[in-house]
Amino acid sequence: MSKPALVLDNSILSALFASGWFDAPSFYRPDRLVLISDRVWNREFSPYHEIESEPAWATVQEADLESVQTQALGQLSKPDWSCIALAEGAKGDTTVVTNDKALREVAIRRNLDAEWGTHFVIRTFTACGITISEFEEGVGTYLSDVTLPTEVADAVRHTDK
Amino acid sequence: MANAQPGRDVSQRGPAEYLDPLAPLSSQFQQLKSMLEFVFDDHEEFLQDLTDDILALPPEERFTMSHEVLREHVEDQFGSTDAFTAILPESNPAKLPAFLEQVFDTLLTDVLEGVFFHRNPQDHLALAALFQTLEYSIRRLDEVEDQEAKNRVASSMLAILSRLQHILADSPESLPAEAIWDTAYGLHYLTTEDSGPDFPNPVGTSFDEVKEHVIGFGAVIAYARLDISLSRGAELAGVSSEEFRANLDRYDIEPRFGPNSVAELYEDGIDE
Repeated sequence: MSKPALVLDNSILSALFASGWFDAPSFYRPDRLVLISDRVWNREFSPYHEIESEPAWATVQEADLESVQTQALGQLSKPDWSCIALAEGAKGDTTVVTNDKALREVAIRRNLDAEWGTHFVIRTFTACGITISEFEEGVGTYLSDVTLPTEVADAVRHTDK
Repeated sequence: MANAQPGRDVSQRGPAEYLDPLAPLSSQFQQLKSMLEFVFDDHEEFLQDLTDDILALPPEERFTMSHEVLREHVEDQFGSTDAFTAILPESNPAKLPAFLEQVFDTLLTDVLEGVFFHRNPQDHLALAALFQTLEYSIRRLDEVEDQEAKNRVASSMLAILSRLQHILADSPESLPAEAIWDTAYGLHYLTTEDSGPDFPNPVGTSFDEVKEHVIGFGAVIAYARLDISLSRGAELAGVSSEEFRANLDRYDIEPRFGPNSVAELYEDGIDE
């Protein structure tokens, strides 16, 4: 049976990087696969961040955009669609992790599991994938990168482990 | 300047009616022209002469003095502007700005639909920037106090409308470069005196750079008004997501990240 997988988009990768939590997804290995599409990694993320190589905890994988059937292709970018294509092509349970509303809506509309990037962060923190000191150090930066309503930002800031 | 109103499920909509970016313009212009039939013996000839004279002006005059060209043409045709006003159809002139704003808003909405069905809808984005400029000019007419400033705003509007009239008369297959230049000039002249972000004077700038500015502004409008992802906005603008976010900041547009509430944050129900 295939392992469940997480597909991370640029919005969550960039927010994790900015907050100093970039390696937090390694917490989910080896029980889960962490997938990043090659379009997201090579065109959206790595050219704009000081990253020398792909992280050991992630599998950067080519996505077949031709497999995606839709009328309104222009609601999402090609890197977004590559996240959808990866998730739809994966064999096990797969969750698209993003903070972007449009990408999340499309994923859900296509019967994929989706998780808010911020929920992913909280889940990782409470499960000890991010330490208390790392969380306290990075949460301000995270919340300035991922603009959220005040009540949500307060809830994130005051998450108990 | 880029007002927001995203939403609506577009996944089941068909692309056919959104392929030609000039189609909505053509039908709206036809409606506007039919209104002129009540006033002019030969409205086509009047419009042709007026737009030819306006477009013959260099940009620095076209976007500041076109109201004078209109006044001269009206006086030639009717003797005086008062005589022209007297024969206008029975309607409240105060309602005209609201009517035009609605027309430009409809054009903007229609042309932006193309963004959903084209991977690289540059003509749609350039026209969106142009219609947004026209819509903004109506609002500026209402905001500015002194008559000279009103005249300059009206001149920018006339310059752009003249360009559109000229484009429609030519029926081009794609949007001509002049429309992009004129959008850039319109944005520059309309924003030199307001409190929002300025647009650089296109004089001395290469066409590629001007086009980049106009398309980039069109992408901001598309993001503000359509339910597209941030990454799609960046793709339309031809910049990175970080650069696109910086562009959104210039216009006080927030990226659409979620969740919206604490309840929504936990509704995913995924636990380790």
